[in-house]
Amino acid sequence: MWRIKMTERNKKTPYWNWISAALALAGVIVFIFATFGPPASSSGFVSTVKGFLQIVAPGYAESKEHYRMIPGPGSWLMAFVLGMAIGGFLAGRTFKMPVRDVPEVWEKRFGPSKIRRYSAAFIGGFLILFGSRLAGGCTLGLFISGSTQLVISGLYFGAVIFGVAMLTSRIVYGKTGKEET
Amino acid sequence: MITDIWLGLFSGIAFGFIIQRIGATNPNKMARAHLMEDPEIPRFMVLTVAFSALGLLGLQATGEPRTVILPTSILATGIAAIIFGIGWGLTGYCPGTCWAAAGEGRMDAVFTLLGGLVGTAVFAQLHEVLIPFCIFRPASVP
Repeated sequence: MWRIKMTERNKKTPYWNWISAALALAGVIVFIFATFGPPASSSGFVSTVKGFLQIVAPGYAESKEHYRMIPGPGSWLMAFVLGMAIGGFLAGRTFKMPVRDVPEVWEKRFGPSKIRRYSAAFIGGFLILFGSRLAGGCTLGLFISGSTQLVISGLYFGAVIFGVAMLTSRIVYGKTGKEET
Repeated sequence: MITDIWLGLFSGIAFGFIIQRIGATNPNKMARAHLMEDPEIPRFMVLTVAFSALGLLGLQATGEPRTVILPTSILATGIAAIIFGIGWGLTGYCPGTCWAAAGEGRMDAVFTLLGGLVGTAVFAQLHEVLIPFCIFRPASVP
C-alpha cells in the first residue's frame, strides 16, 4: 500500500523518490570518502576567494591564516563546487519544472520584487558562509560528513542549524507559509 | 594534482545532479521543509547520512579511507550554527546547494553565492582576531 502511495506521489511531482535519492547520494559520498576524504563544499568558497586574491593581492592572501590552510584553485575542493554547478545545470536542463528567480512562498509574503529577494539571498549567503567558516564546515562538510563519521561537532551543528532555520523561516514567512502552495 | 581535479569534478557533477533531483536546490521546497510542511528533504538528508555511515563502515573494513574529525566547541560551533541557521532560513540555500541552484539557472542562488564569497572573505580577514573567542582554532575539511 505504501508503494502505491509512492507511485501516486511520483506522478504529481517530477522529483525523485527520497529513498532512492538518498541511496544514490550516499553512493556518491562513499565514493568521495574512498577517493578523496570527507566531502565539503564551503571550503570551495575559500579556494575560490583565495584564487581571486592570489591574482589581485598575492601578499594579502599569503598573510592570512585562513587562506594558508585551504588549497587554492586547482584543487579537489574547487573542482567539486564547479562540478556541483555543472551537475545542477545538467539536471536543470533535463527537468520538467521551470526554475523561478523568486520562490513561490517568498513571493506570497513579500511580493514579486526581485531586488528584495536578491538582497535577502545575498545577506543569507553572507551568513551561511560566515557561519560555516567559523564552525569549519557547512551542511555537507560538517553535518553530513561529520555525522557520517559520528562526530559530535557534526551532530551538534546539524541539530542547531535545523532548529534555528525552522525558527527563522517561521519569523520570515509568518502565517503565509502555512498556506498550501 | 590532476587526478584530484577530475575526481572532484566528477563527484561534484553527480552530487549536484542528485540534489537537484530531490529538490534541495529549490528554495521553495527548502522553505517548506523548514516550515515543517514538507518532510522530504530532512528525511532524505538523515537517510543519506545513515546510508553513508554504513558505506563508510564498509570502506573501513576493506581499507583506510581518510577521515577528518572537526573539533567541537560548545560556544563557537553553537554560535556558528546559529548564524548559519538564520542565513539558511532566509535564503533557503546552503553553501553546496547554491552552486547547483546557480547552475540550474536560479538568479537568487547567484546572489547567495556572491554573498557567500563576501562572507568567506570577511571571515578570513577576521580569522586571527576571532581565534581567542573561538576557544578552538577553526579547522576545516581541507
